[in-house]
Amino acid sequence: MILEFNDVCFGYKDRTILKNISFGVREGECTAIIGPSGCGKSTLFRLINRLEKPQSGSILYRGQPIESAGNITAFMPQRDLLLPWRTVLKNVTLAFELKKQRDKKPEAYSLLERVGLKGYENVYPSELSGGMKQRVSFARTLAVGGELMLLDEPFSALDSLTRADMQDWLMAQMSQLDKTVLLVTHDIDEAMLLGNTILLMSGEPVDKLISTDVSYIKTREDIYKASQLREKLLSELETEGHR
Amino acid sequence: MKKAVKHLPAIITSVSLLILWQIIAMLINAAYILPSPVQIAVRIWELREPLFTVHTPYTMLVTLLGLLISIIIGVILAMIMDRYETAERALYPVIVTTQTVPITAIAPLFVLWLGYGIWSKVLVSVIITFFPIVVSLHDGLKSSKRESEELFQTMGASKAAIFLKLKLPGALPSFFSAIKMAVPLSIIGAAMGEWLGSQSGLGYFSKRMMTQLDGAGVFAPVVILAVCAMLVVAFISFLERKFVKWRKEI
Repeated sequence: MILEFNDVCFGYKDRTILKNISFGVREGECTAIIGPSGCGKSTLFRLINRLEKPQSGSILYRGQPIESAGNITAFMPQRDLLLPWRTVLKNVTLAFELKKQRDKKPEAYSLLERVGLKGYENVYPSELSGGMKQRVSFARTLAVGGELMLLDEPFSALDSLTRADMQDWLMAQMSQLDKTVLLVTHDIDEAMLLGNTILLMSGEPVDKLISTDVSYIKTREDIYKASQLREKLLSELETEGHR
Repeated sequence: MKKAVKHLPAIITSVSLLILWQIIAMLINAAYILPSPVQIAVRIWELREPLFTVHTPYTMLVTLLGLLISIIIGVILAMIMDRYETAERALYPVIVTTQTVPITAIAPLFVLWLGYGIWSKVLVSVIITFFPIVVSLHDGLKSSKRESEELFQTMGASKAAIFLKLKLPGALPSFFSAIKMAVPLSIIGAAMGEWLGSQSGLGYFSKRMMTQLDGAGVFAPVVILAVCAMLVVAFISFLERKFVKWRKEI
């Protein structure tokens, strides 16, 4: 396991969000985390990003405490959070600048080419569509270079058609990348399509993550073939939402 | 051509108001009460030497010194308040309080403390000017989203990098708006200081003309003050377009 949560508890003030949760993430896989709104999906990322510390329990990266692991994550937030005063290229090079890596323009150019935005280097974010902005955000995430990619509902702000396009696009990207991906989403189809494993956050507060293997689902057609599993996950998600 | 069309409404309004003013002044026919625009223009020409060689440079020096000191104080205070919450809680009420003090009432004290020289006027200008700068810049620095700051943290950014690459560029539009607000205030402050106690400057000149019941002479420095303010604001707007060109893209 590249990442392990062992009996992790976390909460804000009087509200417990995660109660003794344990799970592991396999290297090179995409693990989709689903759960009802406000259950603590993004909190998991805050803990992995070390923006918060667990109140008890431990988070291990390659068997070592995550606190001492250096820059291992590359985080893609829900909204693109591109800097409006920087061009597309400079938004991508920002990740290099913050690591004090100079002369990385060629890498930034190639990342933009990879995400299909060649020719848009000197354009400001405001001139891009929602889907294009998310692709720049993805390129910036790749530029960060962490082994663990944390994608927090990356397409939730997009319309359904663009979202479907972006999901297909991301699936193709992930197959070429040697990365371990954690994807937070509330969209069952997205989780089934992109994930190898789905972790359903269960309980109020969350006290377990129910794991489901979906590695055999490779296309949208597969999702409909696995309709029983889809229905089961939907009903479980609905049950969790009503808690 | 496009630019001229864009400014046409403002030109028409201004010319109409000047014509109206000219007509009313001609009807009243008492230049010591309301001089006409033509009389003021003539008076500016007649008094061009003292106005443009002595008094305007003096007032502009007071204005620019006041503005410069205000920017330095404003930027430092805004940065401190943004960085330290305790400093924000300690300083913000004091800064707001400075604006409740009637400057015209205490400005003579500044003359008493600092004499008839330039610094008593600069102090009036600073007190009036630094408030919009510090408040706008502080708000601008605070406006960066928490999630953006956290994204920077996940990318391994130091506090200095977050300030320089996120907060400061994000606050630039607020900074330029503040400067544009501060310029006329700085000129008003300088003129007010000169009015209350000085031996040169456009404020002093205007007061001197008043004692002579020279209505056009009172208005002449006021017109020059207004033109100076417009020119400086236009220059700041030019800098803004140069440095914050992304703003129009939003």
